[in-house]
Amino acid sequence: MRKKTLVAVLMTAAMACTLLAGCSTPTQETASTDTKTEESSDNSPSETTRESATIVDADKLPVKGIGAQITSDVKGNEEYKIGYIAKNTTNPYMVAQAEGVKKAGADMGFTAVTQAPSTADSVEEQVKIMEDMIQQEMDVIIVHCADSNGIMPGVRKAEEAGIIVITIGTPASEDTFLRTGVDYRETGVTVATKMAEALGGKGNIIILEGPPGAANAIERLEGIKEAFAEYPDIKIAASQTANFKRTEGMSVTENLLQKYTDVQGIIGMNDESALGGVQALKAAGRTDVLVAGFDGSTDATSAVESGDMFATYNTDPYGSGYIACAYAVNYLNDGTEPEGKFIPFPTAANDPLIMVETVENYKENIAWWKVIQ
Amino acid sequence: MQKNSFKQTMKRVPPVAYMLVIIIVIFSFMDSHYLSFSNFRNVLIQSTPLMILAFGQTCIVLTQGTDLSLGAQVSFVTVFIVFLAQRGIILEAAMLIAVCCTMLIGAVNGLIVAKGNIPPFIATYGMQNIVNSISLLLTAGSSVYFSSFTYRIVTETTILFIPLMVWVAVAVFVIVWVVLRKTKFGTNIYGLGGNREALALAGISPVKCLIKTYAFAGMIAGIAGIITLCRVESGQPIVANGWEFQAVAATLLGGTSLREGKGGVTGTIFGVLLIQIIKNGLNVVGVQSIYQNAIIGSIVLAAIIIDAVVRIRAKE
Repeated sequence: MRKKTLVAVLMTAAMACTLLAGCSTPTQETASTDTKTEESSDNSPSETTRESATIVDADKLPVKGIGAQITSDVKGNEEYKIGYIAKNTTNPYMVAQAEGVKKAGADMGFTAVTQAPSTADSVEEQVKIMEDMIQQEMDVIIVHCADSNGIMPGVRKAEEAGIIVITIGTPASEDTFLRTGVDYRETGVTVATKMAEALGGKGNIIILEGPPGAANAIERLEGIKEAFAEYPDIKIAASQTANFKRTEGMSVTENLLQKYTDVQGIIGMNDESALGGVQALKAAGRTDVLVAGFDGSTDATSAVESGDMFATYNTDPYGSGYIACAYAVNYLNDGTEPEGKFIPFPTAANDPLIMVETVENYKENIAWWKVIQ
Repeated sequence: MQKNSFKQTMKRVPPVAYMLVIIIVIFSFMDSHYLSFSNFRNVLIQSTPLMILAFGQTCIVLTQGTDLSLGAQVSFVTVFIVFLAQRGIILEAAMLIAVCCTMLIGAVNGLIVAKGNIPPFIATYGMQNIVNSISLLLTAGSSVYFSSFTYRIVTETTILFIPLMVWVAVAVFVIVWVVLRKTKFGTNIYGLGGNREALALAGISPVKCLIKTYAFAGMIAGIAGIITLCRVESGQPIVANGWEFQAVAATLLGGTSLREGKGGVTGTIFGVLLIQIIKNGLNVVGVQSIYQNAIIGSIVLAAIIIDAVVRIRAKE
């Protein structure tokens, strides 16, 4: 009887081996796209396989305005079906993006279906939702990928089924019809340049990094470094991770302020970590340090208003969802291709910086979080 | 075994199977895209990783336990294979090594449960956290990537219009079924859940048997991990978090009992299909994701309650 057990175990092992052998192969021509980064060893998107950003002037975009004010003249010729897949249902950013797609559906006259994985940030579930949307015969699938590589099986299936795929924020590892949302690098350049100017091109900066490996935070940091390279008297005194979290932003800043007293600026890779920096500065009784973050969130807006924060960047998930639909509908109507494979929105051309001069207007008219309140 | 009259055969069909039919009919009326071969294949593909995992969980549930580390093991396998492959080990060899690792993890689970006489819930919960941490440590928290055509061989090669990965699930089913029904080891698994004293009296060590069962489940989780890796083409440290509970739910839905050492893998198929068919149906019909969990939860509860009522009636 023991032998039988052994046999069973061996059988299972043997079966695992059949996976390896592979009896017949799927179409080999598609294989070539897959093998080109054979030894690629990390998850950070490799720029070589994707087109770089095409900046389109604000007046040439298919939309007008930004944030809650966004509008468009685009109208669907037919009743199209557009599906949107968020990363989760808990982050206000994602909720606002879904709202942007829904608003576009109402304005441009298409059926908008918005979905998100029930397990937050599960790319495996995103692929499932994509497969189900293919069954629904969507015309377009817009996805905020939870993972660049993990989403690819879904992207391939959708494209094989003749469905246009648009990514927002995190791109798929290969170019799709279009990528929009902010260019993270550009957001870093814009914010850092503004800070360097405000500091008169001189000062020591603390950076609160994002989670290790998070591509958006890495690209943002590259942008910041690139901007500071123009100012030889600006030094990055310390750069440590705060994992996008307020509590960690606070504790990291507290610790760093012990060591570096001569600090003029703090940049958090998102608003939450920047706000943690603000709290730490308050606790230390420092009012002479400029703090900047990204996203233009509710709390960051208040902090800019009260003078606690120097600047934040309106990454406008609502408008990103909206503009993605505008490009999609334009294409479905008459085959108008976007100007490039990656058209960032918003960019510096859309005045995305929220500072003391612009915060009032932002809060009253533009803020993307207004749409989900 | 008794002679099978039609009525008896019907009795052996788990109530969840009827539920399944009702739900398919409802969805078919709600959306014209629902009832098609391509969507049927779609559901099979989507069910496969959980299906395989649930076969392993069924074995554990039969011993009156639950292995909460199974989901973490799946995530670990996806990450560990990529981790090894990035360091120059052939992907296929890395797969085998990873499966051996999960067998080992399972054996340790079994050892703790059996030797320490610790409730499986707690022991495997501890293991779940450890394995989770290892996956996150290996990847520094993000996902890891290794390009290979093998993934697509598994997910895209079709035999009789069904992808190879689904056939892997079929093979695992056959093996688990044979092990449970036709081998001494299988009989002992049922014994562990039904009557441990009798097992001991028969001169069989429950300790050894538990270790083997958990290792067996670990190996199956390893296979589920390989399939998951092929599905998402990258190592995802938290991809299967929570699957262990879905696997327990599917097992119980399928009529395997946590108390009596009764049931088997056949019912588990229906349990997994029920969960996946509801999810797929809700997506295809276009129900917003925030309502989906509530609907799935309600249907699972309803199925369990109906099952319980049917059993109580049957006893009376």
